[in-house]
Amino acid sequence: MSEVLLVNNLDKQFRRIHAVKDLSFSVQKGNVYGLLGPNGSGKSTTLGMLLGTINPSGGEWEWFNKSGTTTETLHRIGAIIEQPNFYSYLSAEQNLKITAKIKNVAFNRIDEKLSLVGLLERKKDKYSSFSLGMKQRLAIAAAMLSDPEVLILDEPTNGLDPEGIIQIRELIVKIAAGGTTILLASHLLDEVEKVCSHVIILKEGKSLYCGAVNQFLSAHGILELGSNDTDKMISLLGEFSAFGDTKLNGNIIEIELNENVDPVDVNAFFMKHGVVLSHLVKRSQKLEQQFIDLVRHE
Amino acid sequence: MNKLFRLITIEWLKNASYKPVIVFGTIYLLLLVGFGLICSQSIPFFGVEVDLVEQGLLEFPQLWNFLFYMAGIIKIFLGLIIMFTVTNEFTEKLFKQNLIDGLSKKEYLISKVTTIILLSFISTLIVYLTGMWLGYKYSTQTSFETVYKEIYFVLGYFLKLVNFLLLFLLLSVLLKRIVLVLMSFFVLWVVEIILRIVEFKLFVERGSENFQLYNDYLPLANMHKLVDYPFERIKTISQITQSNYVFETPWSHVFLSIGYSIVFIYGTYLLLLKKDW
Repeated sequence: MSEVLLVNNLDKQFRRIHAVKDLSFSVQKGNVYGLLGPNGSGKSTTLGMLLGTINPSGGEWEWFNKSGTTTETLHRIGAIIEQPNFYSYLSAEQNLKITAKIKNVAFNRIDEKLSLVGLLERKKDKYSSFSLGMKQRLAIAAAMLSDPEVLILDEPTNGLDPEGIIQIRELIVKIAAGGTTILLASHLLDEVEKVCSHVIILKEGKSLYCGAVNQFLSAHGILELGSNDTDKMISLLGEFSAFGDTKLNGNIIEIELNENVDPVDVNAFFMKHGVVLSHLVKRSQKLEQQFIDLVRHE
Repeated sequence: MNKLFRLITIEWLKNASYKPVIVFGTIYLLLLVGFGLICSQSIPFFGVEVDLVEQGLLEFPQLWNFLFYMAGIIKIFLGLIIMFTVTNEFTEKLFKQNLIDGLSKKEYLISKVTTIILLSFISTLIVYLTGMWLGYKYSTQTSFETVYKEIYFVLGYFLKLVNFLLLFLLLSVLLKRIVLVLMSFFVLWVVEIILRIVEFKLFVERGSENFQLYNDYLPLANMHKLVDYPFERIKTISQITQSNYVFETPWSHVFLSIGYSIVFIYGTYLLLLKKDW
């Protein structure tokens, strides 16, 4: 698999805020990446630097194995930053003509992309008459105009009503199915869990995790144990290296796992030491819980 | 050339149906052409009926001085066009979107500077054509030499417009709000006037006879000097002051205006380059 984007030690110091700290990650072709982090974690600043609107304080990156961000690179990328930005006094079609000229794309692609996002009938209407959901879809049409290899979306469902959110998500899934690499910045865990195959987790400008979503979920999990002799069971916990933090919940102990553990081994271990388990459940965490734990621990 | 055409097309798509552009552009054109037509009539000037033909203002070669000076008065409408289009792109984050879509900062600057040069060129051409029409109609002398003797004013006026609009471009990119741009322009204007008064007072106190105002080289005064007052050349006034006006091409101001233009363009470029958008 080839690398679309490689980021090394990216850093941004604003006058008072250190927005991005020594951030490194990579994006592989064909995957849907979630750039996940609470508000103010440096997502937009990171994307701004990678798209050439914000000057970095340090670090480097490669798009398609070429250093930095050039206009040629940008023509291979489609991006939407925060809210959609268009000329409010122009129609959808006129706005896309500007984008097409900037991206050196023929005007005949405009109708195709407008129909992709379901706005073909409204192409002569002024942008200012559009609902937020329509504006956001127009932004996706503009970003898709050059059939980009990478689509970058920054909080694409922010401020939309439930119907608008569903439309945008379906659109993202549709575009991803066509093989476009997607980098989706969001603070909504649910969103990332639904549409992304990979996740990069940011907190205060640092990367906490970068990898596949399912690995992230299964690497950590929770084991619930109950037995005839709770005290003895607790005293034995330290012998299991895979066990992390524990929490006593009545007679049930909840154990966070640091690595993958087979419940059979756990059962056999306690049997050997004369403890009979009355309760043994292994469950994977929801991304939300996982994320909250990760962010809190660091 | 192809690249430049692409940038001009982008500018056209962006601005051709923008209301302020249409409104100010129309007003500007009406005033510019309308003024030429009125010139052939006598016009009230500070309560006195002035017949321009009789006063010799429509005679070659001073006709150029007069027409280009008067045309320069309404250049603020072109300034408003630049101001509205540019500030809108910064307040609405359209410049940022342009960058993300793959328009480089350099290309953006070139597209704006090209627009400024085109606007200035069109304005200059209109005034030139009006002048030719009026001159051949009313001037008593139409020999080639007389007509083109002070053709410098075509250049002077063009540079004056370019210089003026580039200043507005710089202020618009720097301040991003129409109100602030206008205010800063007004402040600059007032500061130049104050400096002028101060300098004048110093000269009077010193009692030197032959003085030259250094303030003439400040940005706005320099623009003014490119196409200076034509009124000394009105017959009645020159009779009163008994001056014998001799036109000299203000080369120092020409070179300085080119210098200022370069500074304004480079300043705008640095802002685009160094700021985070």
